[in-house]
Amino acid sequence: MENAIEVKTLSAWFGDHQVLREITMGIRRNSVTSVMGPSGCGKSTFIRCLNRMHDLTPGFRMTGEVLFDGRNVISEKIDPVLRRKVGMVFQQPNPFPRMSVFANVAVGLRFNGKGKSKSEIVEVVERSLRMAALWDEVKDHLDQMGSSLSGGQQQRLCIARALAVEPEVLLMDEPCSALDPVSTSKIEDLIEDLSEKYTIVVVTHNMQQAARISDSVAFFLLGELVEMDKSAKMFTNPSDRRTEEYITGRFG
Amino acid sequence: MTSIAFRRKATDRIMKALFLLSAFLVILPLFLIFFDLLWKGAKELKWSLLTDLPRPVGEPGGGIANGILGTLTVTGLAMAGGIPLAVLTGIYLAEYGKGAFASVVRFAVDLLAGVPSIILGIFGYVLWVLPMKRFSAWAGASALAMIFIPIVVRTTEEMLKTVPVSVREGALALGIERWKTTLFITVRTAAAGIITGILLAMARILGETAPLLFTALGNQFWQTGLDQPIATIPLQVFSYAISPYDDWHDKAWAGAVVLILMVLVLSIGARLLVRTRR
Repeated sequence: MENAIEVKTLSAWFGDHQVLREITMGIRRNSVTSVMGPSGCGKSTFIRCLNRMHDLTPGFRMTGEVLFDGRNVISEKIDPVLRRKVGMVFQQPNPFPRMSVFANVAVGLRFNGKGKSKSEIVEVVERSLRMAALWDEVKDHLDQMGSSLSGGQQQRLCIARALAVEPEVLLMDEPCSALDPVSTSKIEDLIEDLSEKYTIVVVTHNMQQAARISDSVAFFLLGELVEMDKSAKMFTNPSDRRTEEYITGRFG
Repeated sequence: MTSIAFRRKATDRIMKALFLLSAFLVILPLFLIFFDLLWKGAKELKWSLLTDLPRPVGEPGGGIANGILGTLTVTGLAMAGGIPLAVLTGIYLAEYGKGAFASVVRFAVDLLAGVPSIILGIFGYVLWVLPMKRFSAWAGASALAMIFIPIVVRTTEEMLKTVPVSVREGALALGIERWKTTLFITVRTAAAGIITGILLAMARILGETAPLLFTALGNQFWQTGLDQPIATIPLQVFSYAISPYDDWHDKAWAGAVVLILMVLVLSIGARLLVRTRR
């Protein structure tokens, strides 16, 4: 199967501190790839390289290649356009404060200057909320503040917001770690549904979650990619001893 | 109860009483000023105060209508120039200001906030009045703007810093350009706080007298143009108060009541704004 993103010898530094060491991996199109590993292994830093979220971090730099749509994301200067195609959902649900549910979803369309008409925006908002499995819960009060929803609903709102700009890739940085088990299982079901149309990369330190949702798993340790494989193989018969030690709970 | 426990509880009560007493003493002057003003200004507090021009000495009646209009004019001018400059500077400091230049700006703004207002008046005099060879609304407004701007710069910066990084990241992750993220997401999120800062700064300059003495000068009549001397309430209160006439003293009190009511309305408005937007 074809890869949506091709990462080649990606290294990254915060100041003098190297946090990623020559990561090379392919991320398959329309599948779920989990990035797991203990805290501080560089997994969040890694996916934030894929949409250049580090741009505003002083002292951050990266080398190597991240090929997306045939372009090296790292050397491209036009980042906003990239981020429209590579959406992101964060660890803490972050709906825009003082904006309604509707405005939260519509915001990407409004400010990306695509010049959509009012009725088109209404349509996209509904479609996005449906895809995020939130429509039925909010359709009667789209005017209420996004921040008044429950944590799990807020996270699905953020997913809808990301989907509204029609990305190809969806990066999720521990999207369930701030949520209760019921909300977590809703998001996990959603991830599975979305993977039919989107390429999804999920960072998680929860191995069970990685096993449940992903087609392939990448295991990071101390800034290195230890190994990457189909999730069935990874959790039953890993080839690296460190992976085995991690999944059997000997550290991390 | 052991004596140690008793002593601790007693100390606790004494300290609490001390805190409470301090708080009471702090708000006491406000109420004293307010009631004293109302008491002494009551005699001249009538409709004509708001609608009539000042009259010559000895002639009863008359008001401060030109001062009310003048105060609004000069304050409005100061804000029209001050708001864009101050808010944009606040945005620069909060969103982009990490380097040495930003530190210089921050320090300079704090210094400006600390410059005695009479000196700003003299500065306005040198900057406007000497070259134009007349006192004017422009001169007064620019002196007031120098008081207004540092307050608004710092409140804007502080308010923007209360917006979580996650809000900016959320917007950037949608592919929204940074300047749009700043203006339409971050500033919008902090808007209530920024507007509150603007209203409080406005309340502050409404009552300024010293910077206007050498700039706006004051005027016994309706203003005729922004390049002419202009009356303001604080200037009228000042000149009435230092006059030797009893009925002028009464008018000074009444003018002070009008002024403090304007400030009160603005402060309450600012509070309501924050509350309803929360």
